[in-house]
Amino acid sequence: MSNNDLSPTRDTPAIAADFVGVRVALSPASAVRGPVALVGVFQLSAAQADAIDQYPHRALVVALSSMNGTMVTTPLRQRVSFPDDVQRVASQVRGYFRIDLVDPGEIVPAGPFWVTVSLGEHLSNVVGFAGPPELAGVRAGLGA
Amino acid sequence: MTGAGRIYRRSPPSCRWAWPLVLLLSACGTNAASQPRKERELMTEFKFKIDRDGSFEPEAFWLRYNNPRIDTRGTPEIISGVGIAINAPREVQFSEGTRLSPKDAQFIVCVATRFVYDMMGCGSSFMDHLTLVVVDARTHQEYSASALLADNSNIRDNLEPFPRDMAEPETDHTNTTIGEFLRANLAKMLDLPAVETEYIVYASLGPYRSNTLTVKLVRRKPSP
Repeated sequence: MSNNDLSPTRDTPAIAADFVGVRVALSPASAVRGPVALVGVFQLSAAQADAIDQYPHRALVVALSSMNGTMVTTPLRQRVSFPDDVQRVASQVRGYFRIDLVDPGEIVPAGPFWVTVSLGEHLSNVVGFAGPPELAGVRAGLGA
Repeated sequence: MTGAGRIYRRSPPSCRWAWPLVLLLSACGTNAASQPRKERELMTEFKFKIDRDGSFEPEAFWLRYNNPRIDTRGTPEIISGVGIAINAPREVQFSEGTRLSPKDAQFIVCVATRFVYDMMGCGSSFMDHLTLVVVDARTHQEYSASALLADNSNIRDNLEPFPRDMAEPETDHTNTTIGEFLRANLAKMLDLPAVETEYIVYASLGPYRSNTLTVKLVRRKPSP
């Protein structure tokens, strides 16, 4: 994971200046092969963000669901973080992230799958994806 | 010629002016009574009530104690819409060991779901597909467990299977709303360390997520 993964992309959802919470979107180039990336943004008050972690990216929890259950992971928990990973404007802290759900070249599993990201008690919107139906039975793996 | 027939034959030409009004009324009238229940439930905002200060202990009699799928006082009350709601105590106490023990710690989470029959292909058993997600707010260590692990009763296992020649039921459940309950002790379902911390808890089922709650784990003070 490079520093670019903590920058906004063209698919990163836009948020209002007074938004509080997490918003995510998917960045698929193809429905058949990866990469399928989860791009998102969080914005909290400085007090909320500091209560979660000095480096809030570490606390991002990805929940990937299918009808067979939910896989949960904290892909940035062990990441080496720096103060400028987040933007501090006025009394708010904003951070961006990009997490690969399906690695480049990998076949997108049939799904359907639904993904959310939580940060503390803040739960994002739900986004879904599915590969070609003829690949039903192929399970998704989370790329960390 | 009857009076009714007379009215019928005369009314169309005289009521032409009223057709736009009829169309407008039928469009704006939301005709809730004639709308299928499935549509109504899906369109309604999901609302629920929880009482975090209430009791999470099961009732004393055997069936309620042994069957986590029966409503208890801590169960969220779903008011409208479809979705998942959870309730949990603000604080859970433990006293011994390096891992939480279900005999020692009552890390109870009460779950209530309401969906329309066969949504997401689940038939009438939505709880079997539900996953409880737990995140340590301090270390960010994540845990998850299927709600099936919460089932500490043998009631389901002991049910006699249906006879093979049993006739297919003719009841149409397409628009039936299914509500389910679960009372789970996370100290039993998950291998949690016995340390003072805070956990963030929520439930997940397909595209649905519940509300999130924070539960504080504290070491029980020794009695004097």
